[in-house]
Amino acid sequence: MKETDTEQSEIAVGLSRELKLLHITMMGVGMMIGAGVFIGIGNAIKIAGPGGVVLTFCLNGIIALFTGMSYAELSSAMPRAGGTYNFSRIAFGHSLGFLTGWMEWFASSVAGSLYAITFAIYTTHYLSQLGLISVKDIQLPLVEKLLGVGIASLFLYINYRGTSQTGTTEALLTLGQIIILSFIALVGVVVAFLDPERLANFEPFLPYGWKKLLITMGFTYVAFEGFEVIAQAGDETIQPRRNLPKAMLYSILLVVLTYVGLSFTCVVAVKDVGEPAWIWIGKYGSKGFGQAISQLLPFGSFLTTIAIIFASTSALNATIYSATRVSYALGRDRMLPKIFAHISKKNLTPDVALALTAGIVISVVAFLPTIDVASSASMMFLFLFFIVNLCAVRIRHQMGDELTYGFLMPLFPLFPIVAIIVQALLAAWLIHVSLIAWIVVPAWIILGVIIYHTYAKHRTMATRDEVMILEEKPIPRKKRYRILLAVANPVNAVQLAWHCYRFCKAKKAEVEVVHMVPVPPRLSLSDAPKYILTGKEAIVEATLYLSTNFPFGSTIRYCRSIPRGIISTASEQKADLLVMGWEGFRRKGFALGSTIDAVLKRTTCNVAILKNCRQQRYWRVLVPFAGGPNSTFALETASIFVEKKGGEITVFHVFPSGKPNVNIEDFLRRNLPLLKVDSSLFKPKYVMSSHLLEALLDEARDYDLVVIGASREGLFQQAVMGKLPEEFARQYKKPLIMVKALHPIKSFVRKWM
Amino acid sequence: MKADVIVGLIVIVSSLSAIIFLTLWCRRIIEDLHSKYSKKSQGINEESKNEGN
Repeated sequence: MKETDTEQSEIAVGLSRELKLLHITMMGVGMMIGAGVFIGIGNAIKIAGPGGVVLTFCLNGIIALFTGMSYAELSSAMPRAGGTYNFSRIAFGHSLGFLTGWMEWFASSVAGSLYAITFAIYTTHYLSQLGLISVKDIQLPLVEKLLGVGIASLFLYINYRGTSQTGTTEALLTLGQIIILSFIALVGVVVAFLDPERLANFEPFLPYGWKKLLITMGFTYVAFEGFEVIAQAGDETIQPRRNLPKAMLYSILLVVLTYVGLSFTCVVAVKDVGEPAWIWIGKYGSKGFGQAISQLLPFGSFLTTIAIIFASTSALNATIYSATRVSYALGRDRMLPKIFAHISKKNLTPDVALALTAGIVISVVAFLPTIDVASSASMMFLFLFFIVNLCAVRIRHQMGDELTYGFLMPLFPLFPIVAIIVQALLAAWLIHVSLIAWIVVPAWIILGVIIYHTYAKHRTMATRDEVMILEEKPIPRKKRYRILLAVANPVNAVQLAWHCYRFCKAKKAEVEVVHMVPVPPRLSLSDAPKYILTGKEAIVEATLYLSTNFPFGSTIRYCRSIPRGIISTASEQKADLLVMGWEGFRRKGFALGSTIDAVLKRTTCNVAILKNCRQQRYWRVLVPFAGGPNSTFALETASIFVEKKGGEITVFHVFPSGKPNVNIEDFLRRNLPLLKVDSSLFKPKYVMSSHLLEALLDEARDYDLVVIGASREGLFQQAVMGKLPEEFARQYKKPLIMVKALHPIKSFVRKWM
Repeated sequence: MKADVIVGLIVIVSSLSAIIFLTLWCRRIIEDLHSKYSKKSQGINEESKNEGN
């Protein structure tokens, strides 16, 4: 009921957009370079020969690009509705929507199993090469299975605990991975150039003919899954209509070039092994790639193992996360029993969905042979991509006029139709590689159909997503000085609004009130409406003061981290001033708390932090003064809040010994005319004391309000001056405003970095 | 050089070129649509401003 009430309110509900093009491109690349390529190269050389492996990745790259175009078009038109499950629900209704979600759950889980197996195979191989473990050939599969189950269990537990990497960390890890792999590929090209005899390894180019390419393309197709996760980040991406399609296409291009380079290098890496290189590599099957690279580079085996450990673990983590999220979403939409949407109170993770995903991942790792796992994952992704291509065609035909596309694929519908035909053919051809895959995958799909007709069909319900999917308002244009007021709760919202009123009046400003709703990483951002009631109350309180007098807007934003959300909102809204409150609590290791510290450091506009500001009138205002970059803004703020009749601002400088470090009168003479404030309000005062903080606290006791500038940021300056303002702010119990002025050059650098 | 090697090389080179060409073409489409969309929303803002006056 409360949900319905809140929906009717006029407060806009939005999202904090924090991910840039680089972040989401790396997200896609990181997911794609998982394991398929490392396991696939050796097996593809065995089946299709040395030329066949390069052709396999080139041709698969084209099909992946065609499918990528469909994803790009759909996610650019509906950035809020990212994900295959949502696209098929919109295009074909609940039945195919359910089936797609059901297949996606299995596909991601099986892909996770493949990454765990790859990790196990290469780690065991490397450790036995080093002589750290001695495993007999007959025991090897068992050891690999145990290690695979172990690593899968570890990452399932990590997902249960709810830890996650930030966008930047993940981007850096992926970047490191690409650098290692590009280095390996580059070495291969250089070696082939310096020693052209190695090109003879490509003879015979296709020993078993062109037909075998259909098999290798089929089971290595899993190496191209992953870019679709970019579609799920639509809610969190800056300019999603522009950046989502670009990121998808760029990530596919990067990955194709990397795969082609790696497969070429793998073939030319081998020399003088007493038999044709492709037969030698093929003998090692899944380990063929690592074995070949160890022939080429002195630390080849080490480099390959490191790259594979990075790639497989990060992809394993992401696929478990993705599989859990899909099954949780099916439970949330009542297509699967409600228990699937149960959230652990302790860790805020969907524990039941995770436990069931764990069941699939561990069973597949433990009981299926590697080639069958790869084939099953490939086949499921082929079916999923097949559906997405159908969705792109249907949605453009049926809803194209209503949507605003950020990308429209050229020569429509040629590319999706070619992709549909080839994907169907590849899936069918996989029967030649794995009969088990052809039993497991259809069995899972049939089970899904039965569940839909016996259970899900009668329980499906319209979700909030479906209503909001097609709506997206452009950001309003800035017309005058813009103040962003961040409110946290209804209790302090009124005081903040009143103080903001004074700023608005002085600056003739427009004001945007924002409330941040932090959503734990393991929950979908679309679940955030459950938590927005407090924010609505706080905004309504603020509205009473501000909306009738100034141009006014209000938004509730979902975010992963409150400081990041506030900073990105200020930047996106092009705010000139951010006003927010501080209750005075802080965590150990932070000057003023994790939120305030980050906001003061990284916000690219002026900032005013209010503490204990419960009064409406201030007659005696103190401005501690050291001549720093925030002094002018502190003086201006003081002049805004002091009572113009009978009020007084004391500009206070405390120095340890000798002469004062600054000349207040001179500073006021130079700056007050620029601020256009009455100079008779200001009174300078100097005090000499070796205990700066105590002197300041002693002086401040008699004032109604203290306005103080935040510390300078440089490490050297802080080492010399200490964090006096922050220490003062913590200890002072009366009304206080801490300000930080915009530094144009630093803000510019931060904005672009 | 055998026929399958020649055909194979042609397929490799042309598919890589096609992937690069298509990516650049799509990028161009995205930029064009973006500038069109920006102009449109700017026009809507101007219009609503005039109506307000």
